[in-house]
Amino acid sequence: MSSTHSSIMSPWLGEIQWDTGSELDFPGGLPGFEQHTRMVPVEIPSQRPIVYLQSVLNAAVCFLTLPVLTVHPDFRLRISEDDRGMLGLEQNDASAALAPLLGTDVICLALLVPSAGTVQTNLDAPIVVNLHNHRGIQAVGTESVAGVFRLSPGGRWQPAC
Amino acid sequence: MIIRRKAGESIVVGGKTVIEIIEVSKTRVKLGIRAPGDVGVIRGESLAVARENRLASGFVAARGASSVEEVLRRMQVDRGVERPSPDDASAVWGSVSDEAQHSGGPADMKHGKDTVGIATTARTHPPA
Repeated sequence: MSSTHSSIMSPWLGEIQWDTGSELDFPGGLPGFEQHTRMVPVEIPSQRPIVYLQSVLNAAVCFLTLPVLTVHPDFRLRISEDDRGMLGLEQNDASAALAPLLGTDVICLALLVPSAGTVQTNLDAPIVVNLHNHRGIQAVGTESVAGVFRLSPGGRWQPAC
Repeated sequence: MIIRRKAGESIVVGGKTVIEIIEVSKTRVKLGIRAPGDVGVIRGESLAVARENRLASGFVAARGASSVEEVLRRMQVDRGVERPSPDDASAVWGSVSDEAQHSGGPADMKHGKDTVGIATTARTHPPA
C-alpha cells in the first residue's frame, strides 16, 4: 500500500503527523459526524491508555476514547450482520462473524462523554475498527447489552443506573 | 402514512430519496436507501448516539488537555484494578515499539508504531 505523510494542526494536541496508510476509514462517519469519514488514532505515551480519534477533515473534531476492556474487562463485542458487512469482516468465517476477536480481528474503543462532573461511555455504541482493512464504524446496536459505564470519583468504571 | 410493500418494491421520498425493500424475513426487513449526498441517513437508535457524540467532541474542545488529565488522574486512583498492565494492553492492542514505550512525554513522541497497532503518529509542536 503506497502512503504519504499528512499533518494537521490540532487546537488541543498541536501538530499531528501521520502516515496516510494508517488512517482509519469510516464509510458512514460517526452518528452526528457523518461527513468525517477519515480519522487518525493518536496515542501519547504518557497518556495511555487514552486514544484520541482525530478527524482528518476538521482539526477541531477530536474524540477521547479508551479501549473497551479498560472500562469493562468482561466486555464481549456483538455486532449486527449489517455492521459486519460495513467492516468487511469475512461472512464465511463463523467465528469472526459471530464474535470478532478483540485485538486480532478488530479493535474496540469506548467513546468518553462528559457527564455530571465525570465521564461516561456507552458500551452499546463502541467504535469498532477492522484491523485487516482499517475500516471503522460506530456499532450502534441492538445486539449489545453492555450498557453505560461511568467513571466514579474513586476511579472505578461502574454501570450507570 | 402507512404503505404496504413487497420485496423488490420501493418508496420515493421528496423525489430524490428512494427506499427499496430488498428482503423481508420473519422478523426483519432489509432496506436499500439511495439518497442525495446532503441527506443524512441513520438508524433511529443512532439519534441518541449522535447527541452523545456531539457532547463527546465538545468535551475535548471545551476543556482541552485538562479533560484528559482529569480522566487519567481518576483512573490512576484505582490503577491496579481498572487499568490493564502493559502486557495486557499489548495483548489487546498489538505490539508497542520500544521507542514509543520509552518516550518521555507528549513532546517526545516520534514516529513509533503505537499500541493501536495500525497507526503511526507523531506530535512535534504542542500548542502554546
